[in-house]
Amino acid sequence: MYQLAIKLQSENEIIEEFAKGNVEQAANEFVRRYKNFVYFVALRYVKNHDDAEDIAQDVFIEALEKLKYFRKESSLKTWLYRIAVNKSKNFLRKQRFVSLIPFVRRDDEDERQMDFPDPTQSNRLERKELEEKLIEAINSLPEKQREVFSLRYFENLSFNEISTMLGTSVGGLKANYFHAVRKIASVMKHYLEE
Amino acid sequence: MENPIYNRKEMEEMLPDYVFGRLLPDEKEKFELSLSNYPDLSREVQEVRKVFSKLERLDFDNYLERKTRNIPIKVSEKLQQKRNPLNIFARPGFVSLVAGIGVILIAISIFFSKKDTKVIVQNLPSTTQIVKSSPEPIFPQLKDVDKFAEEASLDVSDFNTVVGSVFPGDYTSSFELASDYLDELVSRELVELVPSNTKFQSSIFDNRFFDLLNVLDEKDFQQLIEELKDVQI
Repeated sequence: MYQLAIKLQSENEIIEEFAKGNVEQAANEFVRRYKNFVYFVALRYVKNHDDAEDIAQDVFIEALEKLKYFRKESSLKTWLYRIAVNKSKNFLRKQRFVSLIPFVRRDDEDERQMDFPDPTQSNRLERKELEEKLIEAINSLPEKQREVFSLRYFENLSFNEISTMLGTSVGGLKANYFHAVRKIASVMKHYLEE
Repeated sequence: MENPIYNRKEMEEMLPDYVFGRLLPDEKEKFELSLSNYPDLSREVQEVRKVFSKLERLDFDNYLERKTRNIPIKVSEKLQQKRNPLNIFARPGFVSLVAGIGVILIAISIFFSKKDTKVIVQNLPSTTQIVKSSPEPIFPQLKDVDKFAEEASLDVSDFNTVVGSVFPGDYTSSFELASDYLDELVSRELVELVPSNTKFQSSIFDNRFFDLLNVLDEKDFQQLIEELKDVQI
């Protein structure tokens, strides 16, 4: 299995291996390769580790069930991104509905605090805090800015790829990217100077 | 003032890629040439570079790797659950689904059992019909009365006149008289009070009338009793 995982270097190889019937191996490599990407997309929307992990699992379940129908009209990453965003938004819609019901206690509020701890905690957690603070800064951005920053900065995607994913012009994306970088730098500068 | 190669908007759009080293060599050269015309952007480049140089020391991939290390196993487990149809019984929704179906089935069975009872009551032959359809006389002594009336050359009205003194009511035949007599017996549930010389045609009652009574529930039986109480003797 590990040999196969090494062998499957391109997304086309994963799809072909899946089509050949090596489902388990191809699925394993598929999930291993894209789990960070899918998880981080979900995390940016739901802002909670447990929910993001659940959504990421659901994204892969759905993607693996539909992989045989994948037409290669876009990259696997673009396809996964759309599934992840749809699932995250559906999740948030359900959460909003639940929040309208006053007697339903939302247990994830405490967990959310755990995911994004107060930066005034012990110095031993400085590194972890910095990571969390960066995510917090990213999550404070408007959706378009947040997504273009994450896809460009962390995923190294081209503006053309991001344009396909987000359905926004390249010019608009570049402007959003600049504003996102400026805001994150501003937020993190204050934090780093504290 | 030297004409910039890039205008301000272009400079802003290229600034992040310049800071993160993602411009092509010729783009980078033009950007640096243009930057001197925008001192505020030049300061911004320095600030962004300073902040992100600290952030780049973070191993963000490692951070995500820590957060996602369980996903492949969990996805694999969920896929196996989906592939194994027996595991449907272990799904949380299955129990509530079965419970829901059970409640619906019970409700339907109760509804139709009530409906069946009503149909039985509605289709229940009257005791008059039972008596009339009987090939054998039910109460031999009444048959004898009838026979006596015939022998005495009494017509029905005469007969009614005679028996009317004993059984008040408007009877057109001795069969109706007998059926009403039976109704009264049933209504009072006083089977034991049937005269000792009265002989039941058990085959008729067991198979047709009392069997039907047996399927009545308490409520319908009481309703029947109430109706029979109105019968005048």
